[in-house]
Amino acid sequence: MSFANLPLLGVLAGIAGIAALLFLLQLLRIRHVEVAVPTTLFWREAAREAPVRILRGVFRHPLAYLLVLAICTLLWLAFAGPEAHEDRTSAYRVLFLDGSAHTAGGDDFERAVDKLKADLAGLPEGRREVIWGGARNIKLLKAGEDRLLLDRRLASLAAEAAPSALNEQLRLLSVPGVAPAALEFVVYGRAPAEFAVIERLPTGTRLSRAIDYPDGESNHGIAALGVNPAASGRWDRLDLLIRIAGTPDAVVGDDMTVEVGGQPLGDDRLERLGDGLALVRDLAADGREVEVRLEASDELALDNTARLTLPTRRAVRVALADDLDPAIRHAIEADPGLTITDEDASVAIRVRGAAAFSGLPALEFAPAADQATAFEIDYTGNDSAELALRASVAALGLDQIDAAGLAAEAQRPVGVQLRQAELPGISVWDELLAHYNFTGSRSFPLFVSRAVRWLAGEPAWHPYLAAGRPIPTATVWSLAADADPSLDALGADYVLGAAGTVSSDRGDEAVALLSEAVTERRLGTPLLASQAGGDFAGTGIVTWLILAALLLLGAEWYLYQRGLMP
Amino acid sequence: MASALTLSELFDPDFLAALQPFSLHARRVARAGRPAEQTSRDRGFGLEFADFKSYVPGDDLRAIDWNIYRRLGRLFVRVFEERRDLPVYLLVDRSSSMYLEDPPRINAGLRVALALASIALGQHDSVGLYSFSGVLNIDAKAAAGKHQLVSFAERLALLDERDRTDLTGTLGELAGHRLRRGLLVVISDFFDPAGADEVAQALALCRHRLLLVQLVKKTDADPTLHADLHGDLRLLDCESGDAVDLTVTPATLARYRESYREFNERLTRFATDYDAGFVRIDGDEDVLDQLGGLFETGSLVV
Repeated sequence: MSFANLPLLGVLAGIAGIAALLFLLQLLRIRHVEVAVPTTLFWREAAREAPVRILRGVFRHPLAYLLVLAICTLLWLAFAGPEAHEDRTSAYRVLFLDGSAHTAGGDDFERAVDKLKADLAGLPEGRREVIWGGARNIKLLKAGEDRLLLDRRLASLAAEAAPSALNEQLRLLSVPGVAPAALEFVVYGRAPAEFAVIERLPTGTRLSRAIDYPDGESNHGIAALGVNPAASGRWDRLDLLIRIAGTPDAVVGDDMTVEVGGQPLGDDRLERLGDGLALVRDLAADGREVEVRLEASDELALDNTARLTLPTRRAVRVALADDLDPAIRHAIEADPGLTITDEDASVAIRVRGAAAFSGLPALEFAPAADQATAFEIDYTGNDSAELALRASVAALGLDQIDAAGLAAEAQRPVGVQLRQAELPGISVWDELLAHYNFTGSRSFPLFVSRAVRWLAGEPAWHPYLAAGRPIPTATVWSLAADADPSLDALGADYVLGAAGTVSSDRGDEAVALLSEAVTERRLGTPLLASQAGGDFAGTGIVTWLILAALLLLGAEWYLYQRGLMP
Repeated sequence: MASALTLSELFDPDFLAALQPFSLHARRVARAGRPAEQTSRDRGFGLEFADFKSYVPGDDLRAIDWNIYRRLGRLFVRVFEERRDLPVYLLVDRSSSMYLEDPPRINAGLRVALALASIALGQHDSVGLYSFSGVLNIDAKAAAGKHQLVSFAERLALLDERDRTDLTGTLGELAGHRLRRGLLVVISDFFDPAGADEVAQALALCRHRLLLVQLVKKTDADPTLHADLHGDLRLLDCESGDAVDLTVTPATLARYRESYREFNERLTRFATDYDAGFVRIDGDEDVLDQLGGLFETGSLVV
């Protein structure tokens, strides 16, 4: 039994104080209302059997005194907030050392480690374990392992530029059967926990923080860094957006420098939008690295620098056969992301069956008599036709085509057929161009543009890469069957670890911290016992104590009414 | 503290006129009284035949029954019952308890005293007024005649509040006055600190016929009707000043009612055992109506 609001000694002292106070109150008499009566003859007899209800009178009877003392003691115990969980000293303890960017400021990490070591010394080896919570959760010390091993394992560790993995660890505990019946989960560091996660902790688990930190310390940092296709419409250009967050209110000032490919960006290129936002327009999408730095001298340095690798966006080279409808050439020429060439082309556009530009993914036009459906799509990969069709409808802009109008003009259904092949290809009825006015529709240039890019297999690019978050993709014209590197084998999001560099088949890409919670030094929901589910019995006991006190009060009133108690 | 009735309030012609149908009769009054209307043990020249006795010289020759002499040859004279007056002694409680409430009990007590005096004087009985608290006061010696009524009312109106009730002592003191045996009317709340038993014992020693008039208030039987009698109280005896601290609870009230009931039962039992008249007059109600209960047949026989 322990108490949330008072130490055990305080509770006992309080009970003794109450008993003494009640005893002293015996010396006090309540103030009576004086009433003159013709005679006190009968009242005196009545008072002899039912003495006046004064405090001394109440306590004159020892059982009555005990009843009052019991009521007061119950209320006092309820105030003390008892926690009637099982013996918490026998609870299994998980010591979670936060190695995330939250604990990287000042000497937070060193304090957390020192506190962890001090606490560890007093815990039985078989009933505790230490978990490192950095970019990945690692078990630093298993149950039963000697604590001396911890020093060596900690030697190479320091707080990382990654968001906390505490919530993931706590979510694991909420899985039935994972957490032991009585678990003390102690967080060493500033890692915040979400309220929803704490609420789902199983009964018997108590969550607490080893060190009290002030919430929301003053700090500034880069909370967002990403690119978008340039608003100017230029295919090979990108707009770069930067957001500074922190307290007090963040502003983009002269202390921020932006370098592109190692060269400082002129201040005239930086457009300050207010609210900590800055914009750089029309950066060349040439794969260079952008680095943003704040010269702030705050406690947390990890969020003062952020890097981003710009995507490379080159025009798709298209080989165009001579005998095609001129509308196709016009559509290609109108798209700045496409270049008509006869050499080194990535995609060919030709009449079906023509020998020109063989061996290339091709957009072909065939007579309706030779092709059952209006659109025949060859796709690579192992996805089913249904999955491929679902992805291709948007990727190729087929959903933008007025299929009903075309079908009405052609007086036959306009359909799509997909099949697996070694080379991607798209075959379309020639008559759609020549007779059914497909070239005159708004969807035609979109179809041509997207079809060419799909056939060229333009890789997805990332508008930003942030530690602890899934990789976002910006492409919309690739079939899901394309091996998307942002998906792992299970189809789950691939989450980046710490800030730094990630390597893929496209080369190295920079990953930034970009965490608003870290920058604003938030502690999240306080890890109070009442929110941790660990005091599962505490609230119940308080309720029962109050109920018992009320019951005794009722009993006292009943006895008093019946004249059984002074 | 409420004031008692003034003479003008007390001497109400309508009230007195309403008493006309009532009469007061003693079964037999003591000897040596004044001629009046009550049956007495005296023999003489009354109108009602009582007995025969042997003639002795000096007897009135007109009383000789010659018919008996003719039959028996001996002289007997008729003796007749003498009608005498009934001495009525009104003993009025003037202790503080009689003056406490509003209206005070003494008001009803004075009306009862005036009513009985009016009835008695109206039938040529003599009426004496005594008042008591801690000591006995002789306010008016026994006198007869209707003309005494105004004087009697004046003396009643002059009664003022005194201190404590000592009925037992007063009755002892009254016994020392060697009054002619008559009707002693005790008008009181009977709240003698000595208790009902002591009062009953003192009354039992009286040589007179007794009529007990108990003056009550509704709050006596049910203290909850009293606006102030709730919660934690210090009850002050208006006569002795003694204080009783208590908390009014259902249990306390029950015990009070039990004690009060026993007190009344003791008085009633005494009246029954000693063939005394007993009437309970509520000080808040009309006195005349309540006296009507006492004079049920128009005549009260004591």
